[in-house]
Amino acid sequence: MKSPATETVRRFPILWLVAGFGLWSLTFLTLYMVLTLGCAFSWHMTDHAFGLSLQRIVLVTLALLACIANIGMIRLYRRSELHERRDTIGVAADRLNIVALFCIIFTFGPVVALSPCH
Amino acid sequence: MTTTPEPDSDAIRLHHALATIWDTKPGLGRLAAVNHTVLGRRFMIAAFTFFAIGGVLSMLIRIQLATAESAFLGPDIYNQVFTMHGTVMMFLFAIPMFEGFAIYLLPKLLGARDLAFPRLTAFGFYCYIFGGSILIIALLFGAAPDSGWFMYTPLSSSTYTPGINADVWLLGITFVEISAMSAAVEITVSILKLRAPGMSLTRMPIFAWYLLVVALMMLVGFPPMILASVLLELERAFDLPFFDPLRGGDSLLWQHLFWLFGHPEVYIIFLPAAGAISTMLPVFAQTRLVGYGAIVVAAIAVGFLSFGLWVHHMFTVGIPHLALAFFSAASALVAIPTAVQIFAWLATLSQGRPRFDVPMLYMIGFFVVFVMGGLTGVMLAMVPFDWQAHDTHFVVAHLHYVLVGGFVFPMLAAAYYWLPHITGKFPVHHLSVPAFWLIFVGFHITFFMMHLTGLRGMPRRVHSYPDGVGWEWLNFLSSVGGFIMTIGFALVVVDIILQVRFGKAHGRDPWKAGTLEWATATPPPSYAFASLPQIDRRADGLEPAKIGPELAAGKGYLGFTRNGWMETLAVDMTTGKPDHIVLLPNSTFLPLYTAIATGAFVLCLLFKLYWISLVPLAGVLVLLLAWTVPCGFREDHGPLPIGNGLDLPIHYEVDRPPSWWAMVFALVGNGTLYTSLLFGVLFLWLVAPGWPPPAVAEPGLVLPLAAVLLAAAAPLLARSGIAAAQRSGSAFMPHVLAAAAQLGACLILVWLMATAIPDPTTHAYLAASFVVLGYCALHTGLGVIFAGFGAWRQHAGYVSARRTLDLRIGKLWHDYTALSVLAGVGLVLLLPLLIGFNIPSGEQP
Repeated sequence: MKSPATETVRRFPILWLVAGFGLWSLTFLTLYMVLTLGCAFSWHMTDHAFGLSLQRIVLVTLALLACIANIGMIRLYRRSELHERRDTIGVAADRLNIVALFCIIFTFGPVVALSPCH
Repeated sequence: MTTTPEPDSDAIRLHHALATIWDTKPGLGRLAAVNHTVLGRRFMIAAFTFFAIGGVLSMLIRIQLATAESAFLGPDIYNQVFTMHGTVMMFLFAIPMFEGFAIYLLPKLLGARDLAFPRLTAFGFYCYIFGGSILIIALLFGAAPDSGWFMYTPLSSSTYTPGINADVWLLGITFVEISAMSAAVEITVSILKLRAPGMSLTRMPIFAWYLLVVALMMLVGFPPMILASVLLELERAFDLPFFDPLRGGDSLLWQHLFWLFGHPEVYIIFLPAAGAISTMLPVFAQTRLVGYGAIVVAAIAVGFLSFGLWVHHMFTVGIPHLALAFFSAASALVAIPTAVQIFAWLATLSQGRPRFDVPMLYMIGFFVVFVMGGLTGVMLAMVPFDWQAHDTHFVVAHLHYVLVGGFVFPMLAAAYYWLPHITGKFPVHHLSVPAFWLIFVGFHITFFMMHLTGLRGMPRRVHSYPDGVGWEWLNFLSSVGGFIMTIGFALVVVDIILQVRFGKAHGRDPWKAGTLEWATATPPPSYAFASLPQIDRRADGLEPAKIGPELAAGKGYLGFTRNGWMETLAVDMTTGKPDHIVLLPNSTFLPLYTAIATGAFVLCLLFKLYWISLVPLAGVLVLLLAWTVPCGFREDHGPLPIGNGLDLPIHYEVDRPPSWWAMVFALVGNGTLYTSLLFGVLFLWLVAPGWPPPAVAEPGLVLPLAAVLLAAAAPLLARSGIAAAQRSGSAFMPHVLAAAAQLGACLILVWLMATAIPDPTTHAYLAASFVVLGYCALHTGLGVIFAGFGAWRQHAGYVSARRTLDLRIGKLWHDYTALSVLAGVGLVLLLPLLIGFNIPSGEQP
């Protein structure tokens, strides 16, 4: 049985065009919000495993999850009817998902190194 | 005996029959126009008029800054002039010009007879005109906004701007934004649904892709600013302290909300122009557009990335390195899809055999100016450089290179390209060429110098500067360039007048383009196409000169008239398969009356006549309900012939017609506003000084829970009503009960606002709780109207097993309201708990 989300995407394949960057947007908002939250509650001042702060651990985890979700999305898309059609929209959706993955890595890569609250 | 061949006489008969139905009436009837061609032209003329006003203001600025310590304008007037220059150019010229352009062109590009909601087009036009007029009249009376086009708090708060200047901006611009939001919904739905049969998404002309992206960006981009304007006006009018740091507010909240709109706005302005370039360039390169798919990808990527840049206007406010990195990276990234488009256009030129004509000249101007603006944009995306150049004239130079390069030059190219379509005449004089050179050279003299003054440290927004600091000659040159550019624009106006007055007539498709708009007669008739085409290939490689006469002779779909109906076709949004017939409304004064009532409401707020404002507000509500009177049928029609052997149902009898989608997209915009509000409250909790508040809301649990349950009951009741209607054709009571549920929820929410929240003027937290509950109350109140309307339509016979559209649109509202009340009441209950947490560091992310 197909999930409601899968069924919606099947009925409106145009949604694949915005899936990757939709994830990028969601990651952007989430990371910025968690960063704000962590700074307010001094998560960056706490020491956890390997000398990493709670702030760093949470941010890196979220960024990694976004990458994994995007890769999963690309794989899922490549099994969809739209991808099999290989028309302009099908190819565009594939490219957009890949570009979104690149954007996630480029935009949120700094979570591994930069000082979070200064 | 007639000498006219039979097909022509058929075509002429069809033309007369359609014109009788579709034409705008003369005299006062012009004010009742709802036709896209008429309103598109009016939008563009009005936008160009505002452009001229903005241009005059820029001349005043340049006169003032031409010499050091100038006494031409005092600081008060100068502040009004530069604020109004930015406001007029951004809100009253660029966006409406694009809207007018889209309104005029879209149906013709897509092979439809009109946009999906012609009355909304008219309403948007009048809101734009009235809102713009309020701003201009305020300027004439010396009461114009004077806090900059970005209206930063606390400068625009009542402490520092006690007069009505800031209110004029907040109310006037919000009024104008009704126009933008209505255009966004209309354009989105029209592109997705109102296309010619066979025009799948993959066959859409590239321009339609761009406009689709832009309209969706507007739906998400404008609400944060509308919210910010409403909150600031609430602060100014009722002392609710959202931006007052002494009472738990934060002026940075304004900056976040404003730039969340303000940066995408740049791309909202640029992308339609890029769409025009992508349409025109292949025509003059005499080849197909290279990289159609890549351009679609790039346009969508730009649309998303542009929302991740807003903080690059706030790099200097004290944000942590990591957050700066997010925004800096996104700011740099957006250059890539933009460059993809530039390279696709260059590839198109190199692959074709370019022929030079006037539009091509302006497109080359675009390339030069926009690429320079883009490069300085990448410079400013780098935080260290931005810190040096922030708030200097370097930024003024950059934004003018981007906006004039990215919008004005392409729009001039588009004007020269599509004027023959609008007027039916080709130019015989060529003032456009010297005009181009004057604008191009004048532009660089004006704005290139500002890079230099900026790098030498000249700040923005100053009315005067001292002698002997090395800025004088550069500023003088800038001013000279400004006047040269103005002479160029004046020549363009003269040239257009000459073309309209003395131009020579031309046949179909004078540029040998491949897009559908050139298949109409020129100037186009009110119904655009006498019959609608079947599209069998990408819709930028058509043969308009061949298709046009066939369509005029009624050989396409709907090549006839029926019952005096204004008919066009809707298609499946992905495949382009014909889906149903859309019946459009006739000319009516209702949009004008509704806009007048809305204007009266705005003026009452402006002059602080709050109780009296309820009268025009009620008028707006009644008038909007009156819009529904001519809609719908009391009997089923079933599938009707559309020509070429096909039968389709009318839109009242299908599952998802344009009006259903319009509600979906309107709710997306509404949801963005609400989400911005909820995030804004959390932002204040985390970041604003002056927390914890002196008191917390005490709503208890019973009443909030009751409100949530009642709001949740309404959609369930609406669903049962729809199911009953689809089974038996009749279900009155569920809608009455849904109305009662919404009314109950509304009363509880109002009661909570009045009793559970201590004085909301004392702290931003209390003000925010008050507003969140108010938002929920407003939606449940409107839910009463939706449910009551459903019950009335049922009672009056407009609903049957086939005709449940009104009920399903109402259900969407009830669904949204239930979620809003759940989120809003949840936040109000949660906030006292959150406030209980001690925020130790209070650092400012």
